[in-house]
Amino acid sequence: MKVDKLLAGFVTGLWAAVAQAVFFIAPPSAFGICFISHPSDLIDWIVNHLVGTTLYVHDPSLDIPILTVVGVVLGASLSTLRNKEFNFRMPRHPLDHFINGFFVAMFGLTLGYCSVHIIMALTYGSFVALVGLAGMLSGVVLSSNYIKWRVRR
Amino acid sequence: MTIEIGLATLAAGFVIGYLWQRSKSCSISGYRDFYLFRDTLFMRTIVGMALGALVGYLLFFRFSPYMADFPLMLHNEPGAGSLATLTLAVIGGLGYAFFSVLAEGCPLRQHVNATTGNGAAIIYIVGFYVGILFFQIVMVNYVNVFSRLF
Repeated sequence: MKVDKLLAGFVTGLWAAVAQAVFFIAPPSAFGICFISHPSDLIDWIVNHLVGTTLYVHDPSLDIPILTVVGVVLGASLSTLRNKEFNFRMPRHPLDHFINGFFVAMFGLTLGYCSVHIIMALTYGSFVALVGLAGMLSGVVLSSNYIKWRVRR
Repeated sequence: MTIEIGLATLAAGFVIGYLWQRSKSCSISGYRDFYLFRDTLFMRTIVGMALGALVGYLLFFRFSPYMADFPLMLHNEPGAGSLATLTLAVIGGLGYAFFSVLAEGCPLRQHVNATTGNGAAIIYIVGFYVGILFFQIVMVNYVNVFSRLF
C-alpha cells in the first residue's frame, strides 16, 4: 500500500499541533516533532544517566526523554518488514556519509530546528524560523549548484 | 505527565515512521528538486506538513491553555530581537541544508532509510549522533558565547 506524501506530511503537521495543545510538549513552542532536538534530547539523556554528565535536554525530556525517534524507527521497521523491503547495501564512500551526518547535526543544533520542525515553527508564527528557513533555502541553492558543478567537472 | 509524553511521542513516532516509509517522504529533497528540476513531487510532504500544522494550530489555539503564545511573533518570541540569534539561525540553516542536500535527505528520512538496510543512511546516523555529542560537549559553549555577543 502506497501512501501519498501529502497525507504523510499532513499527519506529521497535525501531530505537532496535538503534541503542543493536548500533551503540552513545550517549551519551546511547536516542539511536537523535531529530528534534531528529539534525537539530541534522547542521546543526551542516556549519556547523562550513564556517565553522570549534565548535557542539555529540553524541559519535556527531563524525566523521560521524548521517544519520537524510537517510534519512527519502530514504525519504519514494521513497514519495511511487512513489505519485504529490507536489503542491506554498503555505500562506496562511507566517510562522506559520516561527515554529512556529523555536520547536519552540528548546524542543525546551531539553528535549533530541523527541516520538519522549522515548518511547524513557521506555521506557529516564529520569526526565528522564518530567518532560519531563508538560510536553509540559501543552503539548498548553494548545495544544488555545488552538485551541478561537481557533476560537470 | 511525563510517562504520557513518552508513550504519546512513541505512538506518534510509530505512525509517522510507518507513513514516511510507505510514502518515501523527505523534508529537504522538495526544495532541491524544485530548484533543480521544477519537480513538485517531494514538495507535497512540505505542503502537507504546513497544512496539517496550520489546521491543527488554528483548531486548538482557542481551546488549549497550552497555546497562549500563538502566534509566536506577536508574543515576545525568545531570540527574535537578538541579531546574534538570527545570525546563528542563518548560519545553521545554511549549513544544515547544504549537508542535507549532499546526504540526499533530511535526518527523519535517513532514520527511515536506515531501517531498509541502506548502509549510507546507517553510517550517516552514526555521524549524526557523534555530531550531536560533539556539539553538546564542545561547541555549545562557543555558540552560547556568540549568542550573547550582540
